[in-house]
Amino acid sequence: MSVERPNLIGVDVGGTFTDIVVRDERTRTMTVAKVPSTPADQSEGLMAGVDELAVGPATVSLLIHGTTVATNAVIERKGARCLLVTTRGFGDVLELGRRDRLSVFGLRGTGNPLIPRDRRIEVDERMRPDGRVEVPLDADALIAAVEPHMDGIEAVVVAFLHSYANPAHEDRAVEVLNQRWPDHYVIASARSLPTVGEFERTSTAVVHAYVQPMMARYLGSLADRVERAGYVRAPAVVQCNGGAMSLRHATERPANTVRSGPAAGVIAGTMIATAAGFPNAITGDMGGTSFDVALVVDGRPALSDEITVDFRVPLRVPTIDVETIGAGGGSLASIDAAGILQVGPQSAGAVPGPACYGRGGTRPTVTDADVVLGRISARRPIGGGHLELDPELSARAIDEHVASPLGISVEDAAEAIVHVIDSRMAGQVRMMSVGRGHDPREFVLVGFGGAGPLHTDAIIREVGIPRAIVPPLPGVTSAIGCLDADVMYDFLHSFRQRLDEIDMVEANKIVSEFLAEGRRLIETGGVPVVGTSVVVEGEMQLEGQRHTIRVALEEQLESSAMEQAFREQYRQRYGTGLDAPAFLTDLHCRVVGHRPTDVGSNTVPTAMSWDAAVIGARPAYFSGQWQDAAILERDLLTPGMTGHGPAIVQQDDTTTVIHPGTAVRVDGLRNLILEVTA
Amino acid sequence: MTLAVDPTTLAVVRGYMDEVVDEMDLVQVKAAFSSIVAEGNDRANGLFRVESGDTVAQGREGSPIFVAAMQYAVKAVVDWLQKIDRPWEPGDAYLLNDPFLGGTHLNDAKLVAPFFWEGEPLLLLANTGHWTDVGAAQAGAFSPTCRAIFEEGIRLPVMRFARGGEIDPEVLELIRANNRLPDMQEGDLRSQLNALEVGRRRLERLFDRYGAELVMACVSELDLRSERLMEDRIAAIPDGTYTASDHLDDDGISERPIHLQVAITVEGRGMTIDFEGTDPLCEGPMNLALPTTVSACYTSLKHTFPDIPINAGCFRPVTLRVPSGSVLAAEPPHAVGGYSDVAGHVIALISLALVQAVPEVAGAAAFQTGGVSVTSGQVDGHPFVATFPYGGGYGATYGSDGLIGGTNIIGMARFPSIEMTEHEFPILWDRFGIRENSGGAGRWRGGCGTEYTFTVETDVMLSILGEQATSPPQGVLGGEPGALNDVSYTVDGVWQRPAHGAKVPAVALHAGDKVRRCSPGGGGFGPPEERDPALVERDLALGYVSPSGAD
Repeated sequence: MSVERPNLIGVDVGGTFTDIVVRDERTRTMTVAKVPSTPADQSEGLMAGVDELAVGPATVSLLIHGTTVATNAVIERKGARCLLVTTRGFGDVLELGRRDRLSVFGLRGTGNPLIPRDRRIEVDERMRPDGRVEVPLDADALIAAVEPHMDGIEAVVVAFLHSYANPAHEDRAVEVLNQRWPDHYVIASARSLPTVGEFERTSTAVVHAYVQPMMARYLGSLADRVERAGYVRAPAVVQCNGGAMSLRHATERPANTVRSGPAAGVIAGTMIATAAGFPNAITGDMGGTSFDVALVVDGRPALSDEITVDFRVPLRVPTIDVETIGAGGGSLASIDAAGILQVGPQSAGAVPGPACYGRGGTRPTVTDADVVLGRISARRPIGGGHLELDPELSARAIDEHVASPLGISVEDAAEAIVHVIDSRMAGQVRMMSVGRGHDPREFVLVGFGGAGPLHTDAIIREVGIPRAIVPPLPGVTSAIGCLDADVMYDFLHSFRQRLDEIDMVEANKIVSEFLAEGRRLIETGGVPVVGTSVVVEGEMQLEGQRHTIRVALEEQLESSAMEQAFREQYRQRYGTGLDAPAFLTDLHCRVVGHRPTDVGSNTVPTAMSWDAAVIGARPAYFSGQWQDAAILERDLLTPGMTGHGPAIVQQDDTTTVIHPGTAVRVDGLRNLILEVTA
Repeated sequence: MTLAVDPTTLAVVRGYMDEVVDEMDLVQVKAAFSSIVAEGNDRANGLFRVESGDTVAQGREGSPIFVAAMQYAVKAVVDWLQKIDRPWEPGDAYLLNDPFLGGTHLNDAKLVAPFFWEGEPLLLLANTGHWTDVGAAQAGAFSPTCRAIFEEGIRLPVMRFARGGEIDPEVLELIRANNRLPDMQEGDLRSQLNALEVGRRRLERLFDRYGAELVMACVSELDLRSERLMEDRIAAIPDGTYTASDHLDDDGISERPIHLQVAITVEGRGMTIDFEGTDPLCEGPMNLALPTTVSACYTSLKHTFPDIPINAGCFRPVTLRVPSGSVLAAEPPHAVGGYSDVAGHVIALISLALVQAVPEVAGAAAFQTGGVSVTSGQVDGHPFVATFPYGGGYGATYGSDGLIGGTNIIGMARFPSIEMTEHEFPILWDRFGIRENSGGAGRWRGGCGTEYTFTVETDVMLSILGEQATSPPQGVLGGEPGALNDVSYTVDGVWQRPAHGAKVPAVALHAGDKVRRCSPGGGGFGPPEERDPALVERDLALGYVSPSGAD
């Protein structure tokens, strides 16, 4: 922390809102802004929000941000027009995947590849599995084959068979493509993921290319704006592994930002829950379009090495395991052909938004239902002064599209909409806890996101979780996660060798090169860190097995220690061992640059009722009847205060609904702790 | 039920048991040595009642065709122990692969072990895994010309494989001695044991936490709820009788087609599936043992109503009538090695009958041939067996074109990575792509099949057991059928086609020879002239359909 530049800025660019948090590192005080996202150029809304907070650029040490720009582009198929160049005979690998289907049971549905068949070009070349050339690459023929298809193309992927064993053909192809089309992003599959498995490697490179042009434009525009405004450092970007990277690295590996916003939310949720004394938590982040759930056991978020972005769109990158469903404040309610109420996964998005926004949306959303039920105040909507809500428009939309078709009252229709969306979210929370063998009664739900605290109480009631945490600034939790994200760089080398046949001198050279590169990226990336650490892990198996287990290794590789670590973990996992030789497929290295963390001061709570924070009362609809709910101002709630529902807590970035039968206390970190009592 | 179960505990216990069986599935796959289990997912794990063998829970990622077959296999062990009056002992595991007891074919070996709690056996843990080799005349055992089970490999009745946690060395040696790949097989067998052990440990935690009485009360309640859910789904189908028929190409020996017929009668909350009119047992391997037929019926119903949890309860509202002596009720010593293709036909037939009653739910026929190809030989004195699953087109459904290049509907096999197969076997792929013009035309088009060619780099034996060379996947409600299965190969460089449709008995190929497979596409849904012209344009642009095919 520097005296001249005490401010850190965390930003989460979501599909609907852009959240901004400024933290003064001297006082740990935070100021927040929530502004509408600007899909055409996300950096515009972002900077408008930062300007609103009136932080002098000269006082800012760093801006770190997470974003759903890449995720949305893939899911909505709004990414770049790409070309895929493959080995002759294998252009369809991307579309066929592993010849599976959408789910084990059920035969409906079909795929939608990111690069359609008429933009997949096959060329003559072939490597053998050991890296020897079977058919040489003709670079002129490649250019000639690609040329007629380049009209309107923004990015090119080169994915040849066995390129992880010998990248020469891919590298050569990238070289000649770069010479001929110097302004295009061109990526080789083995440079994005140097491992065996043509489909997953191709798909990972394709996702990078598919999101690269828009991410490069967006990040470039952001860097420009930041520089012009007079910031001293380029912004940093959060990755799906929960760590930050430099903006330049993000432009080269843009798919690493897929799901980075949710990952930052999990980082923040984990820190909040742990600090509040709950090492086992489920984080539930409900925004405008989606609900993201993650599991935290013993203070550590569950991890994964692959994101299934969509059917037959795997992305192999180290990641925090976050499950997402289309359920948010903007989720649309409708009556289907069978006369059944459906809510989501379609969303009204930022434009036109819910009907009550008065921006031309006529179909009812979850937010409209919350307005009709008296849970969201029309005069104090999320986002502060940006919008004045019109409850009449909400009521009209619900009446026309739900209440009249079902022959029920507008209030009952609104409550039904909320109940349907709550059940869907509860189902996802159940999948993440019960579905993975954990008893939800041993967990706490951390409810955040702009729409989360409106529904957190209902979700824990349905799942059977006894309590929930609503953090002080729930509407901007992902942005807060960005503030504290460590810097992380991941590296991978494919060995595919028996442990006793590996040249350890060579292997240690590779590790030290990775670690040096990681440290260099941290040093030159412009994000201040207080120290670094490294993680070295091996993907290991018994020779002849197909799958691996990930084994933690020492930084200095040593054959017998690796063997022992593997055998021990194998026995732990599978109960018995086998005499077959140990085999190393891949080696992972991660360099972590630690950022200073401080969970904030824990005030000693005093026992007092929350009457001082009550600013009024209004009728709110619960279980089929209007009840008088206390209205509280979040800023006035201080540690130690206790109360109970029905109550509604208002603040700029969200609204917390407390149902009848729920007790609340404010803990020493100013979290609301909700406890179901009836 | 003696104990009231609160809804949260019921949900937790159910979720926990689902998690246990899912984890067993995962452990078996992760620890396996064969591609067919590790990537082909050709396995299943479950929990069963100790007294009846009834299914309590089955892994959600398990291969669908084992849906009911596992219950038969477990029941065979229960019956055997009763017959010889032997109690369950902790640490025991029983093994069988007899298809007449446990369904499918000899390659699918089942292990069954007891779960003890406070000295009592309360549940059974079981799994099945596909053995790459079973010591048949033909490596890998997908031979289309077997006339008896004895030609298809070693047949193991129920036998004690482990005692007190230790594998019986003599039984293990018996298996090794009858296998071309004894080390791989032993590794896979141990992965099956690993899965049972992990399941046992996880169950202990569940029982420790909730107590036996509460857990077993949940088991009974979940069974009832599954039954009611299945009844609700049946009640939503209009009452009536719906029929469908098809034929298999031949039995691999004669050229006579084999007729299959089904009539489904829905009456209120009950359903009867009757195969009266189906041809008698055939001479070759295209027969199904009864447990396989039952499994195929439930697989089809699960594909139609995917949300029903698998346990014995969901089997109860459906009555099956399978004529004895028919091709769907094989008795020993008939051969059953072609089970996967016959089961695929049974699954599609039921869907073709149901689509008349519920056109928005069921769909046109997907490809129904396992069409497994086995290539075997030696590299540097080491034997290898390369068994490849077969992908093809799925039937179109109301509102959606069919899936392109899907996995066999009886299973959930993922095709191994092309690169990995080239590491393992002396083959080099020339092409693996979408087969153009193979999806049945319709308002919604059937999915395209796939097309592949590989070259062998050493002398090998090739055998293929496939179907649908004469009877394609059917379209529905005016939709057209998908393309037929098309198999060819070279012998010393000269292209050949099999004498029997898509069935190739052991043929010797030499280094440089090629194998080419074009899989069927799925059937179309609704009249082709009702297809959105924009979609026709797109099909042409992407080459799913060629200009002549679009007419």
